[in-house]
Amino acid sequence: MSDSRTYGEAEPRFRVIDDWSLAARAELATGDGDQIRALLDASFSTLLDERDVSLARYGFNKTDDPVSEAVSWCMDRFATGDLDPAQIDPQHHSFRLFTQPGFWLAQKVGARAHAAIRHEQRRRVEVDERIDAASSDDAAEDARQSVSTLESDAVRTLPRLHASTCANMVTFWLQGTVKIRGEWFGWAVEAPDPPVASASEASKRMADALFRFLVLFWEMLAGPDRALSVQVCEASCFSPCKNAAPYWNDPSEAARPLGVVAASDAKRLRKDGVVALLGACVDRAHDPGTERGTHPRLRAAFTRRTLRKSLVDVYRLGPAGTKLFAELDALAGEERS
Amino acid sequence: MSKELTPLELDEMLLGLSEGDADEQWARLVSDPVGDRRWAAAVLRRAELDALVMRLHAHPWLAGPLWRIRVAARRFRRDASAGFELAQLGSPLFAQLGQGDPPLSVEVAAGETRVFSVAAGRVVEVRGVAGTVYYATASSFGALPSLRWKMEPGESPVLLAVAARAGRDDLHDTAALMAAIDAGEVLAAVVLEEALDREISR
Repeated sequence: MSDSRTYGEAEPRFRVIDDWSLAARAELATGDGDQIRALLDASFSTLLDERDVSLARYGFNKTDDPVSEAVSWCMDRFATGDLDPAQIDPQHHSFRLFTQPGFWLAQKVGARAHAAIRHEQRRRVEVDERIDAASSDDAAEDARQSVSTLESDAVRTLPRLHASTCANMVTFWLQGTVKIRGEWFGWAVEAPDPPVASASEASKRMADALFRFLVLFWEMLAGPDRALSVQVCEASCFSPCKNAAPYWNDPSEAARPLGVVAASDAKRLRKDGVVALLGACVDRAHDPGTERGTHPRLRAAFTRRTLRKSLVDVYRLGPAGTKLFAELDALAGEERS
Repeated sequence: MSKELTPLELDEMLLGLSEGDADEQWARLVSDPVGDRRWAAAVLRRAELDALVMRLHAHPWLAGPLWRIRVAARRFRRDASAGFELAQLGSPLFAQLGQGDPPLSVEVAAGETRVFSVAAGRVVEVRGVAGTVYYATASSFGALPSLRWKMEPGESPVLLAVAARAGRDDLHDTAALMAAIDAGEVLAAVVLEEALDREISR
């Protein structure tokens, strides 16, 4: 599982810029100037909302068309300025760099000033700010602290979900946790938008994202002694994938580096891996232990609430999966009684 | 109250470029009641920008007109409602196959440069315009008095540009079109791309 995974790794390649000498850049600017300007213009227009950060703060205030000023400046910078490719993220050694206003704004005013401009309109707030601070009761304070710890662990896990899968998985997780997050942060939950696809399709996607999040939340992929089935599952479901259905890497391809040759074996192994991980999640819902953070009851409840039955359909888990959800239901029954 | 994540911040989160700001940005996303919609919108924006990079790489001739239309839209500050309608004339057969068919007609606002995916064989029609409609491909250019374009395989992409007023029917090539754009004579344009067959999902 790569920590440096960035969106777009599984996507088609962009036009590469491999010669960063002044001469080569000047030639690109002349020969492909319209292409570069079109990209700069589209991205500055799309990604910079004037309400949030005004281009005037970056010195683009000489005319009544700050976007065109910015585009001109960037073209000039690219064609004649000092650009060190070692300072530029490798994923942007391509024409994609011309869709990165943040890079160019930092070039204009320097990285530090750019960061300062972005921060100046924003107050830093604590994650648990919305919880009523008026109460000073110990139990209430405990409740605040515990939810706050759970929240911060959740906040840390979400970018890992992103890095381990793809962008839409984050969307599905956010959709699936609207109610829970509303409880954490104290907002009233509006009725959710009707899903674009059929209800069952949307609920399957959410169930999948919630499950994968839990696996990362509970660090179930850490450690060397993982069964082959879990390794196959990891390569398929916890490695960067295309940002489109089914949101995983084909099990046969994923399992090949692990020495699994037959497609049917790969599929079976992945299913077994999911069942094993789901079983571990159900265990945590019952008895989370204390080594993985404070306030185990809240973590257990969070786990139970984000395990959704449609996961059985997502991975075609069959009776093994149904059995685990029956256990989970029994657990919920116990808690209520 | 924490400030909502900006489009630029969301884009940088998507691309893994947040560096020191990352923890704080993800906290703001998780605590945002409409975080899912904001993130989804950011994913779409990045997908469209990436698609533009690929499209202009494959068809560099599109860059000049598309860039100039954006600039002219800001300079001439047209009323956004002064646009036109683009309609897709579908055959009943295609309508029945309908897998998430796109809407049959859309409003294109002045200054826009939108891209539409059109299946080969389908016809699009420009409606509600007074000015001449021009078409441009990599190898051809001309006026479109019929106001209809049939998507033929292999011609993609096609630029349809609408002149701002009647009588502007004297443009002969893309260079002339670009000069007209710079002079504020072009209302808007659309790019038609041939829709690829959908893969049957496994």
